[in-house]
Amino acid sequence: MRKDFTAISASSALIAFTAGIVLCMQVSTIASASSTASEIPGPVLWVVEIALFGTAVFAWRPRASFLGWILGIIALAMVKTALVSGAALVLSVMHETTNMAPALHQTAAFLPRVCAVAFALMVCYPTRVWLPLRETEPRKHKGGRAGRARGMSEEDEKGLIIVTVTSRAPGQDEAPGAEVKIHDPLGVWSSTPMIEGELEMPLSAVLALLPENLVTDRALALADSETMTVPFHAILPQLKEAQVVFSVAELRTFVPLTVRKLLVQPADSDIETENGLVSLPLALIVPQLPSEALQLPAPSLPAWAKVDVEEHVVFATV
Amino acid sequence: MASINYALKEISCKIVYYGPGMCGKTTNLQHIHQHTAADKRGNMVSLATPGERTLFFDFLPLEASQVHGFRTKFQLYTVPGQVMYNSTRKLVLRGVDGVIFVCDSQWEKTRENVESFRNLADNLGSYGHSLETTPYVVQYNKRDLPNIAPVHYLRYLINPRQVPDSEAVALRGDGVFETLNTICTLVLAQMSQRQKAGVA
Repeated sequence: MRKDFTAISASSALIAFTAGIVLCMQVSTIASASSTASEIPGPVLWVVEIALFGTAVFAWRPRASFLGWILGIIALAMVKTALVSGAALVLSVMHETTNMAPALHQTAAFLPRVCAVAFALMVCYPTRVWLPLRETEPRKHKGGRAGRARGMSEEDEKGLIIVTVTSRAPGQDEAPGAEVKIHDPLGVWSSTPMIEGELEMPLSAVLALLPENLVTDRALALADSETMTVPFHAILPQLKEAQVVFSVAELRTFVPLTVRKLLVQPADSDIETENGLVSLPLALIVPQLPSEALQLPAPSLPAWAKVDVEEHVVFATV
Repeated sequence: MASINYALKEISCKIVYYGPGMCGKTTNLQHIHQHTAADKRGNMVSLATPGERTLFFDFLPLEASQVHGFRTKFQLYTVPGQVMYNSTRKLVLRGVDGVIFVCDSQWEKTRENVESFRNLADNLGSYGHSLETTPYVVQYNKRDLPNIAPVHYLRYLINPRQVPDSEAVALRGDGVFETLNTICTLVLAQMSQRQKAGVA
């Protein structure tokens, strides 16, 4: 089960489902007693409901794929139908009749349907994490000032896609730090040295990099006196990329427990936020590294650099 | 590609300054232009935006000392560093004989340096060349700024092969001619070696 779909999520969905059936049944009883509700044709209601479901899925999961979006709508429609049918079943049982048709007609009226739609949204909200997402584009050259300019052709971007942050490598589940594919145009690197130890970073500098909605005032107040330790093995493989990047969820594991508790908890945080990448400042990292961490490979000069220089070029300077 | 005119006893080579945006490529060229004898250089052509960003390329023809009795002429080019001008960078690299890769030493530019260097390797590859066959030197520029990465880290990122490299402050002219002399010497030496081997 996904770590972001917790037992709390499951129980809240179940409670919402039960409450939905009960309320739908009650509302249908009241609506049929008053009989003042205007009858809206069923197809119109369905169209409105589908539109509403589609909007809701898009709002919950903007990066959902088309399939995910359709699945979300179908799931919402099924839950809503289940709520209406469940309410009808309970009504039939209460009236001790085996024919559910009158009860279904009663619960499929306008007001009970509105109630069912609202509760279907509540039931399905925690399950939004299951919706498949669009394929993430590889990280590209951010280009500093230039950024990804408008009108940039595919040809222009060719050769700049260099880092792909993927899931962790097998067997490294316990080692925090996004796996970074090392691009080695010179072909000189064989492996990254394994060095034991960890470095300390001022926590205030790290919290400043986290999304604002995660950092509470109490955490900030503590941050000035606290440091965060990051093991070398999580940093060293990333150094060749000139960036040290962690997801917010991974960074939490490095934050001291006292401060971690004061941050907005993962259960209350958006999954997109938790997966968001944070780049730690190299200026705080590199000076702390032992010299062997930045050891160069054995010199392997190209042939053109090994030439015997007989005469140096001299420019007439003024 | 370098050309040798035996009738005129003249060698002509193309040197390209490569690097991320705002790293100081044009500044290098401007310093060279300002500090070379007027009769040994042509006009500097610079196509820039109003914000002094190179739009297409900068060009400076330059004449150096005689080598083996041949007059040596160098055509110095810079590429636009901005990511969106990759087609132009590729175009400028056509027929290149040597590259000066200018690194911006500031911490926040380290990533851009790496990306630009890889872009250089990719663009050379599109012409069937590589950093294995094309002479290049690395210049760590802006060493006068306070927020700079140490040279050993920049070397780790950009120059693990330890080809000739040097520190520079192009704005003051520190290291500018040293870098140019090094690449020109390497280019001519490679050309001489190829001549001996009968390649060129």
